[in-house]
Amino acid sequence: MRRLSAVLVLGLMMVLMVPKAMAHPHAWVDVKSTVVFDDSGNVIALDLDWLFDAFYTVFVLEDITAAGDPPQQALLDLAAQNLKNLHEYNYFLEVLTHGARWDTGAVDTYETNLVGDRLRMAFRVPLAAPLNAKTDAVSFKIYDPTYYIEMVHVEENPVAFDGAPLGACSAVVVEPSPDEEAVTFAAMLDQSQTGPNDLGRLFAQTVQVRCQ
Amino acid sequence: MMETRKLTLIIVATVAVLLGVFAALPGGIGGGWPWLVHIVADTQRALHAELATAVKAVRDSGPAAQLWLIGLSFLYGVFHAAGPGHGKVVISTYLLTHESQLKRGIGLAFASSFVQGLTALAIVWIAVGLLGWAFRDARGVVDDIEVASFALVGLLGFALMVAAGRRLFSRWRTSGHAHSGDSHACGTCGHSHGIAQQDLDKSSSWAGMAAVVLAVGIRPCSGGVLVLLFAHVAGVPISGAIAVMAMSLGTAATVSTLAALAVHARRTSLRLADALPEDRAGRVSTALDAVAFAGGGLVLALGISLVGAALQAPAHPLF
Repeated sequence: MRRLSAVLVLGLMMVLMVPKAMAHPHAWVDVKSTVVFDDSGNVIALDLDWLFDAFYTVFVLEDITAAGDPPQQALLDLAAQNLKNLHEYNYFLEVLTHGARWDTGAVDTYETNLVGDRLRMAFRVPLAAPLNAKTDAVSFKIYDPTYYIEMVHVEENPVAFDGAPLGACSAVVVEPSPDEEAVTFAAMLDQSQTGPNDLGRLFAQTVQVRCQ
Repeated sequence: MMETRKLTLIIVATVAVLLGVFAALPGGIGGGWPWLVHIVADTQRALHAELATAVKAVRDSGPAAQLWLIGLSFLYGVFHAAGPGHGKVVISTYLLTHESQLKRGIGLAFASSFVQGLTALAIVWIAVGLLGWAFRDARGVVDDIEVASFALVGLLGFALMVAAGRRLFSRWRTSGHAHSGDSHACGTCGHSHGIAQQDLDKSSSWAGMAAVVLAVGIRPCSGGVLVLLFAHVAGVPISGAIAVMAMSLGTAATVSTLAALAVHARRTSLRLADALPEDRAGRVSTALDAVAFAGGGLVLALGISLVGAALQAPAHPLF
């Protein structure tokens, strides 16, 4: 009976790990980001440029496209709705300073269009308060916490700068390298919990911003 | 007593190995091989992007491009299934605890994969093709069916537990000495040597297999649904259907590997058990039923935990 319980305990551990682990991406977004500076050289916002895959694009556009290209107003309405839904998820953006989370605000400027057969949505996420790019060790991650959508920076020119002191800033896109312990911990989390270690975050790239 | 302990250890070890395989599979938990996780993730993304191009190629240049689409879809299925989805847990738990025939184990993997593809086809065909629903609503059906599928998984686990529990109970009743302690020699159990060999030849019930296929298979692949909707808009619905079937074939290939592993682990344990002295054979049957009972318990717990998670999960902000 003791052995039977051992099997059961082992199995239960596995089962608890499953719901989180079974998520895997079904849609993909190519990301470009721009770090926005104010006149005094502080980071005040991030411009995010998302290019959805062709399947997702067809999926969301079909319902608003009777025939031919969707009207621009319909695209704008769609973007507004998506951004409204994304607000409580901080637009899938996590800004960090010295590894600690930094608050971001609500989006009020955005644009959207079709690039070939792919939907593009670009928007500005303001920081709650400016960060000093030289001393605050600024980095950020862009990810869907549920990992249903995989968000990956494009290979060429993934990160740009807007208003940065000329030639003084650089950015490095660090690929995720989830270690076993962290992943197991994430896998044990209940589905409804979106802690700092959920699955999407573990597979998220980190962009490190460095200014001289 | 030593032999029983050994046997149980062997069984526990095989279960542990199998669970280890889940844990190591890329795309999901995958902590063991982070580089493999990246390869699978990158390949899947590349294949997915290529799929859209391939569907349009079929639309623009006709059937010549069809073969390419089929090949891509197959590969996408292989890579997409290389994560520890709940279906694979159900299938391998069931096989590990109930099925000793390799052929039927692989058959189960194929049947489940194809039912998943067919469900995706049915949803899109009925909801969009016949009823003219909006895409968002059609995809929403997937979420509803998903909860039903999870509930069925739990029900399946419960049924497996009841079946194994009844066998255990009747053996306990017919052999009055079984509960009086395991320390004495058991020469009069009434079980013949070779019981494990019989178990090697025996298969699980068709009803059990069908229940697994239904519980796992009615949850459609949402990737498949998206491809079908895309092909529908591109005006090549038949190509989309063929692509989804090719995806099912790819998924089946991956799941079969896992199924073969599960059946093999079970057969190895049974062979080892068969080498035990004659007077321990009765314990082997009991141990097998205990394993079947535990397997049912696992599947039940998985079903409950999945239903709970699905009901709690908020709608995805972008779907």
